[in-house]
Amino acid sequence: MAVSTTLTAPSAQPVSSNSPQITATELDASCRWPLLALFGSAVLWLFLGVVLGFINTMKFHVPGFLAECPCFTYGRVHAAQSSALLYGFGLQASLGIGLWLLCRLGKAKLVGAVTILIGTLFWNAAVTLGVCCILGGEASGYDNLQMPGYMGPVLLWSYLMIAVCGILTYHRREERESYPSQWFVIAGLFWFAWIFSVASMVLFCPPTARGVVQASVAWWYSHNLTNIVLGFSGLASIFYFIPKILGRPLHSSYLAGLAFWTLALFGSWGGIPMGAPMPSWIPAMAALGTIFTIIPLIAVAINFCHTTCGQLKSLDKDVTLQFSYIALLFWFISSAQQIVSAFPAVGALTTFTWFTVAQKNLFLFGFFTMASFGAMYYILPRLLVIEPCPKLAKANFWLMLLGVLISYLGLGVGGANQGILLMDPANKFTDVMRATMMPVRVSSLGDLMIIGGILCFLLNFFGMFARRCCACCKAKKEACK
Amino acid sequence: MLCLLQGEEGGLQVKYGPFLFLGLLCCMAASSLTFVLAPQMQIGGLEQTNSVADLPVMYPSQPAGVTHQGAEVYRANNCAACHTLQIRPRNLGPDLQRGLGFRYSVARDYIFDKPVMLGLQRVGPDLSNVGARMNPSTILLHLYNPRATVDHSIMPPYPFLFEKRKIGRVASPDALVLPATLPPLEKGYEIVPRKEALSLAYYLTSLRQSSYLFEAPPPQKAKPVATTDTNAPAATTNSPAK
Amino acid sequence: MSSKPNNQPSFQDGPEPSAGRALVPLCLVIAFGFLFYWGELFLDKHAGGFQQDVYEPYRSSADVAAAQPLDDNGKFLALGKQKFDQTCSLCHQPNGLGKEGTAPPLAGSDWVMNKGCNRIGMIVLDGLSGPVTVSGKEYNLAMVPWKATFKDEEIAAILSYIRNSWGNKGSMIKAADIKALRAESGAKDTPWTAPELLSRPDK
Ligand code: HEC
Ligand code: HEC
Repeated sequence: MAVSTTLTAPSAQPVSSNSPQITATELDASCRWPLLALFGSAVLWLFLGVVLGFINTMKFHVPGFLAECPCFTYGRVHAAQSSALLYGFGLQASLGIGLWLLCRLGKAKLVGAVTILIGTLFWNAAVTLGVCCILGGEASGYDNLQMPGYMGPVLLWSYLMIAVCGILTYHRREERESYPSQWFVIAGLFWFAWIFSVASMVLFCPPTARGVVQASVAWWYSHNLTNIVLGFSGLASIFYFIPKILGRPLHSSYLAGLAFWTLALFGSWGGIPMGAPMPSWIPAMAALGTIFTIIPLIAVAINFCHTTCGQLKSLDKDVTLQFSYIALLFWFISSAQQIVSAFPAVGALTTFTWFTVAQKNLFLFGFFTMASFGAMYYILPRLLVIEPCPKLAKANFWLMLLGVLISYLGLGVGGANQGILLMDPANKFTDVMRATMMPVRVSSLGDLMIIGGILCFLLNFFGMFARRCCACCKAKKEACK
Repeated sequence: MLCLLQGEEGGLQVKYGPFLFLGLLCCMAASSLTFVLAPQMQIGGLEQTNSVADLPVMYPSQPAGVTHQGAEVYRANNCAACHTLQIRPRNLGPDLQRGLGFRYSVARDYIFDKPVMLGLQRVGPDLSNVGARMNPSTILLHLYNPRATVDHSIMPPYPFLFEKRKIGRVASPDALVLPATLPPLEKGYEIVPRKEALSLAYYLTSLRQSSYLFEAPPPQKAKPVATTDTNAPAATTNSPAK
Repeated sequence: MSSKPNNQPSFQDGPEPSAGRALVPLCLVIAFGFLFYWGELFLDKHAGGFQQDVYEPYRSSADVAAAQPLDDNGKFLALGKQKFDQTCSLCHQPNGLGKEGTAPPLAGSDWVMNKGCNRIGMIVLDGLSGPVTVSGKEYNLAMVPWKATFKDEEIAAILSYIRNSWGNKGSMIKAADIKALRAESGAKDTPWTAPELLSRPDK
């Protein structure tokens, strides 16, 4: 880092919210209803998702729990849970945050509010139907793409309705200079449309791919969905909120660009475990791409070290900042873990164990959910023009943080132990299985805390909404008098 | 040098929408070419082939209709959430050392699978070769209540694949023989597997990747055995109907 | 939400964030250069030459071929299979079933399962054209000669392979037999026809 330049030249005029043409309040007003719809349904799905997840954890304590009912058997609930979390929560939250960022950073009013509302409606209908189908035994069998193939067109179409409005908003921006968050958001919008249509075409439209090509495509899709689409959305909000709330410029747009392009290029290779039944170059390329994501990791690290240096004290002031910092931290840990596990020697130990599950959960809950919560704590009060309850927000933060940590450590340590024990053929599988039950049970304590945290957010959100409605009604009544 | 660094991808170009779009297009193309198109071109057209050791036999054999129905039950209940169907090579995991398979799995093993459910987590053992180590009656009993065959198993039971009914004039030949460790049924009743359970058991017993192929030659040194450290004793490994 | 409640909170919105122009540290760029170099080494080791039939732990097609645990007969057949898959399978298909309008089947063909190679040896050496009946079905196509492409041993291996695959049963063909046929066919440069071949004894 010797040559590292600290040329934090003040960049082209900071965009201030009280610029003559259009105020931040007007921008927020333009996206009020579409975003409320997106966020509201996202949070409900999130809650449903973690509750489904908890049902499954219960089955490790009591395998017979809800076993009589085919709809609630472990596998189906597992698939339903991943669909609820990724499609119900993840994509809707990322769309909402993305649209808002595009409005704010481009200083353009949201385009097509009604179209977005209709898109959201159809999207939710499709996901609901999809989850019901999964519980009814119609899961597609592809990880993270479990909703039956015939839901594909509806999902794609409603996604496009929303995404196109986002792109148009970006197109009509007044502020021509782009900020890194905008690249991430735009990339995410294109990315999902592309991977989803490719995967649906190859897997569901006859003539479908044959043999393990399906697995390659499904894994590629699932990796891109989490690491790129959700990852970009989380990074977009972190890149926006940390400098914004600290009131300092981002250290370097070049480093951000480096991170962005290398992540787009290499982060999108992966998800195929070494040793998968494919010619060895396919998993090797996946592993290599994952290992190369060390580049964006370092670039983001340097960028934020310089951006935030010395400002950690202001952490406890702002809940959005807290969430964003922690999300960034968890992004590092989970990406680093992913990189390390991509090395064949480590992968031999960790593939198929709870260790990888720990990493994925950390990415989804520790990074993405935390980053989204941070963003929503900033956006929602502005949409509803009402303050959130600070106590609930605090409880939300700490419950999430502790829950994620406990769950992660439980599964991570248990998974590593499981991998090491399995390496010795003398250890019987069933004994190893029993040995891993303890950490899994510890992690379900963490899951409970996560549920608690999410419940706090849910209460806060709908509490704000209710108070706002009351206030409105009162105002109307007074006006009538 | 400074000029070079100035040209680093980033700030300047992405100011413009079209550049952003083009760059993204290239990235998306690169990854989908590598993981969608190239595999499709290379292994999308794999066919049956002769097994190395026994030339006249074509492998894999065309699956029977029941096998397919069984695979559908496997898919519907997403057994892949806990079980994998892939054996890793010796240097990438202990699968062969643990006797989970005869050889590592290759693309050709799956050409008739739709969908291919390789699985990503092993809460339970790999099932690529269960057909070589369990017989259908053990599998059925295990499905009905895993704790009947394995102490403290955490695999969920699948009672909805079975039917409890009054014994008719003659007892059903398929009825489960419950071990003494389970609470006995009321007198005059029996547990009979439904069609789904039977086809699932048939599917599982058909799972066996034992033919050596050109791309998966038999290991030269230690010969792996497919007896396992889990359920069935090696003596009862013969699969039925084939 | 048109009417504004009077107790509306006011939100402090700072300026939108901007990005500085600090350069990418030079040492980072150099380190990434090394990383890419390492990546190439990684692929050399683990990508199996991007071949279809190379899986871990093997490194190349040659490794896989060397790992085939066959006796001499088996090695001979494997050679035949390899050559067949590279050339003949284009027309006769890897499964030996042929393809309508391209080539007749070899699986179950009475030509292939003659007692010896007196006829099919010639087909492979010099090619075949004109009407021919295979498994009771008439074909009228043309097959190219392979005299110049393959050595005697390779032709013998291919023939042994097609005579012992897909349910076919036949004796192994030796390189010496092909050598004799090659001498007999001499400088013949027209393909055989079916009647010509049938006039040769089945041995
Ligand atoms: C919650 C995770 C879980 C799910 C879901 C699950 N299993 Fe299992 N399975 C296990 C565990 C753990 C074991 C090992 C202990 C045992 O044998 O009971 C196991 C063992 C097995 C075995 C015995 C393997 C052997 O070699 O001994 C078979 C067969 C099996 N499962 C089939 C299935 C089928 C079929 C399904 C779907 C209908 C399924 N499993 C769903 C966890 C699961
Ligand atoms: C260019 C396509 C092509 C290639 C390559 C080819 N063949 Fe043929 N082969 C044919 C055609 C066409 C016929 C039928 C000729 C006719 O109709 O007279 C035939 C006929 C035959 C027959 C006799 C008919 C039968 O089906 O039994 C044999 C044996 C045979 N080929 C073997 C081979 C072998 C061995 C090779 C590889 C060295 C090979 N062929 C490569 C096109 C091809």
